Amino acid sequence: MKFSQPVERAYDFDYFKTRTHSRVILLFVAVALVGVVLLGRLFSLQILQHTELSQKAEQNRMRAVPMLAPRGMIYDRSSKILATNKLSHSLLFQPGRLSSQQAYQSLQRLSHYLGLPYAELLSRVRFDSVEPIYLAHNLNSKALALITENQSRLPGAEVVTELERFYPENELASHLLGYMGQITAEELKSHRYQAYRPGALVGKTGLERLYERFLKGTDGKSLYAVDLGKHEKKLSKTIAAVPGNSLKLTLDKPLQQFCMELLDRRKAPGSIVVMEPQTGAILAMVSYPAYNLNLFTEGLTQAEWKTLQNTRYFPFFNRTLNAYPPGSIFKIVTALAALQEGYLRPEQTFYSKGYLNVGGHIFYDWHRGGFGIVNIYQALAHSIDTVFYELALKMDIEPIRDYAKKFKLDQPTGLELKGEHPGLIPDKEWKKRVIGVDWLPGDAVNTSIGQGYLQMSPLQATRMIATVANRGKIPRPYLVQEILGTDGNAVFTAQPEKHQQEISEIEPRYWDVVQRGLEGAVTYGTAKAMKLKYHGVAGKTGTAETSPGKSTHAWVVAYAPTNQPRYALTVFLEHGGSGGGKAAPIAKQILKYLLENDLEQTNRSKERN
Amino acid sequence: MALLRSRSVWLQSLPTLVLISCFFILSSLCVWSVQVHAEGNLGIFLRHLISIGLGFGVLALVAVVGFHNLRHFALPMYVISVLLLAAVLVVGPVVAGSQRWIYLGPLSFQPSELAKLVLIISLAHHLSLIQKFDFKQTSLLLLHIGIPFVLIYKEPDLGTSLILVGISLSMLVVSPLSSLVLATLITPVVSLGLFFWNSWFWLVYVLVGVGLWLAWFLVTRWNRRPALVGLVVGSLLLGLNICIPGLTEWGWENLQAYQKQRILTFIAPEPDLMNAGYQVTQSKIAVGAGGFWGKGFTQGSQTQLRYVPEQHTDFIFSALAEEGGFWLSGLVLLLFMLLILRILWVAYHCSEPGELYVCSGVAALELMHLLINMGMNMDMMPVTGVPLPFFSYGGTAILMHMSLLGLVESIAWAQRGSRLIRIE
Repeated sequence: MKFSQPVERAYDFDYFKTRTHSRVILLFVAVALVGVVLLGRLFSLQILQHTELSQKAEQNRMRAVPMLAPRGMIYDRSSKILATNKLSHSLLFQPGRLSSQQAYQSLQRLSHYLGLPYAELLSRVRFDSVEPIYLAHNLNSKALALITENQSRLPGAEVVTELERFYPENELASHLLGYMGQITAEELKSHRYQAYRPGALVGKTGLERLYERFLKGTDGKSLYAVDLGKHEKKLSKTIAAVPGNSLKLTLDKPLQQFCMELLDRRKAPGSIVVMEPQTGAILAMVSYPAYNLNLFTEGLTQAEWKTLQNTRYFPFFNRTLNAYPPGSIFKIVTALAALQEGYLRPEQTFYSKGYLNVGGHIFYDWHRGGFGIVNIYQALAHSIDTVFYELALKMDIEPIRDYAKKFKLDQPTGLELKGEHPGLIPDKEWKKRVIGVDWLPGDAVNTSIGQGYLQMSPLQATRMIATVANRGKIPRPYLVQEILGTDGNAVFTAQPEKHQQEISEIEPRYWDVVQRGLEGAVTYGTAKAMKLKYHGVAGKTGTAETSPGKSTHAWVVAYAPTNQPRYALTVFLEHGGSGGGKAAPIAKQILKYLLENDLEQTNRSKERN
Repeated sequence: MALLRSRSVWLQSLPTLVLISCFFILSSLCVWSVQVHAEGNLGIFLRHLISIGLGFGVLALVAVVGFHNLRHFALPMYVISVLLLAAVLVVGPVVAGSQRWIYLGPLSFQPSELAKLVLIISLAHHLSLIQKFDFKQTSLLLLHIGIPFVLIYKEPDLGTSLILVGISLSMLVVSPLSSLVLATLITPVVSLGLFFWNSWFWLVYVLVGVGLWLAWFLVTRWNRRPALVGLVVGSLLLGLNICIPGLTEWGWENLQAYQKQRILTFIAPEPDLMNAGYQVTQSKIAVGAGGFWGKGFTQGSQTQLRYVPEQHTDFIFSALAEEGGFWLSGLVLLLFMLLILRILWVAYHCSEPGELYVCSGVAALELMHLLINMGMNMDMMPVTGVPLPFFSYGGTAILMHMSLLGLVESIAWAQRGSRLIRIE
């Protein structure tokens, strides 16, 4: 390239002059078009939409500072606290007025201080929100110190002190109470959560979710008008927060703790339900293992949540509501069906030889030696399988199915909590439809002793034994005794008698037979381990075979005292061994605890004093 | 020597100087209002003033040296600019998810701004040397544009890389390339853009196209000239324009999910614009709240309460519109039109292809900056980091725009036969 020479002309410029000139005019037109479009838009915004947009600008001058309503408490039956609030620090973040770079740096730092991944924080932020959003709740002291120390380097972030949910006993009744978590974007869109701020805590499961609208209360706010020149905020209006309603549960906190301890000693999964048979009030409902409810208010990350979910025995699984094969506790139903339908007379005797041949297939008794000549009382007490095999062969499945349905074992019990397994009662039509195989006589034999396809939840088992204790009255289990208004008066009181049902078909003398059989089980039969010194106990053990190679489920159902039943309970140990050997001792401890520290007795003594 | 004649030469550039002085006065007022009054940050304002001062110096320098001298250094300038663009990807710190800046002690600058300036000079020079658009020349040309495009795109800075493409197209427009080739190149892109921007605009566009073509056909027949070839070619072109949005959508539907994802990340690669939706909403409110007369200097609530982020850079127009109102922002828009028309006026009178290309490129660049920036301030365009020329705070951009004007002025002087310096 030689600088001294002018640049050579590549083409004959003058020849193309008309063409290039017209092209420049084309550019003129393009410029004019862009000008018209921009001016039109400017006109539309500044003149046509002026009123509407300046109203929005005015609204922007009002700044709302939220005042969180204290959430309603959750009490047990004697007003002991199960869930309360405590002062805690939350992190608010307002990204809107930050530059992208500031928001990015702020979030990067916060991710470091909070120990949460950046992506996790980013997913919690809503950039279109003018109001601040909650990034984290229940800051721990380290995070709090780091954030307050570096406040100036964290544009948009603000730490506020609020009353937030706290569970003083961490794990206690976790499956019932449920946990709180940050509201999701989808929830925020729904009508139900209209009044919630982004990132606020809401009940995610259990009673916290079901009674959210009572517990929440109404948030208040202070409205400030911002002055242009001095950036001063003038308080213009305050709307006070209304605290939420409290829940008073039927639960007995010391009993719940005691039951939890019993299961905790074994370190193996299981569940316990204790109920008042007349009313259906749940006194204790424990599923083991449980989880710490307070973890969730701090905001678990996706990764933490996954590990918690996949820990051994799946702590989120509610073992009181899920259904399992019940084993011999179902013999109560088989016996009642046979008695009422006339297949069995109370005085009838059977010869127990340890096995029964059903169409060439040998069904063994759990006691291979057999019991000799027995009646139905002994059959229930010793849980003699062959007696029920014979009855099942005589009756076939239909009466068993009908009586199980009378006990409502194919329906959820109607407890407030969601996720109840409805149970399963097989019959010929069901097997054909679901399994696709014809019914065999052996199926009825299996079902009669609570094996095979039959499934029942520990809660249903408790209701079943309560029905026996009530001689036919089926209670509906419930957890919430009262909802208390802010003034302490009940705005709702449970009326258990309204929901009671009754099995009227069974004659009283047959109830006597079964009750005597169950008392016998405790005095001389399989449930001997439950025998108490001063109180009569009736019960039935169950040892349910599960999948091959796995240990049996251990069940026991019981009620006491026998003359005037006040407690019905179920102890269920998942793959826990034999009912009489493993579950019954636990049930004994609960009954001993209940009848010695009897609630009503203590109440009476209080009245005397 | 020639400098003696300089007084008359500078008088010739008076209109441009007056225009940009108006811009800079208003821009300084905006930066004062946004930064000094609202945030108490005097430093930014002073730096802005320094940038403006330097800008005038650079304009004078470039104008005096002149395009006719600078074009000889096109290749070395191009190489340096590409090397800087590559360097920013290697040593540039990641700020808000992208690498755009090079820091030298207290100074920082954006190589992509330099790249726009250099590309205009080098591309103009390159195009002016092309005698025929054969395969070799076309590939060279594509390479010439492609390297900086890809490097800037990698930062990622989609706005700037698209502006590079726009500049190149505008230069092709004023080249002697056949109108048919140009139309086939440009109109489908315009059609596609309009269709996805606003379907009514697209409809108007198609109708205007059909009208023009019919008019051409009638005039040709009236003059009894053969019209068959034009008829066929015209219908093909129109058909292409009408069908391309549909074809694109059909193609999109038939893509696999991961392919769609790849294309989406290609179109919107900028991770730092996370609060773009909020910015645009607040900016729109600010513009609308201004009304006809504006809220007055330092009286806009949106501006003073800092509702619009980045208001001294990309969103400075919203401050102008809120506090100055329609009359002032409309006036600024008209002044911008005048400036661009002045550049095109110079283009119209060029007698040498290289100069024509430069003027056309500069006009296109200013126009695109204007459209994209004002468009996003008024919620009409996607948010990309494209500043408003002569208004936004930012030294590199101011220097770049001033240099471009310097180039145009040097060409304007040359048209009157007054070249100040000639490198012998």
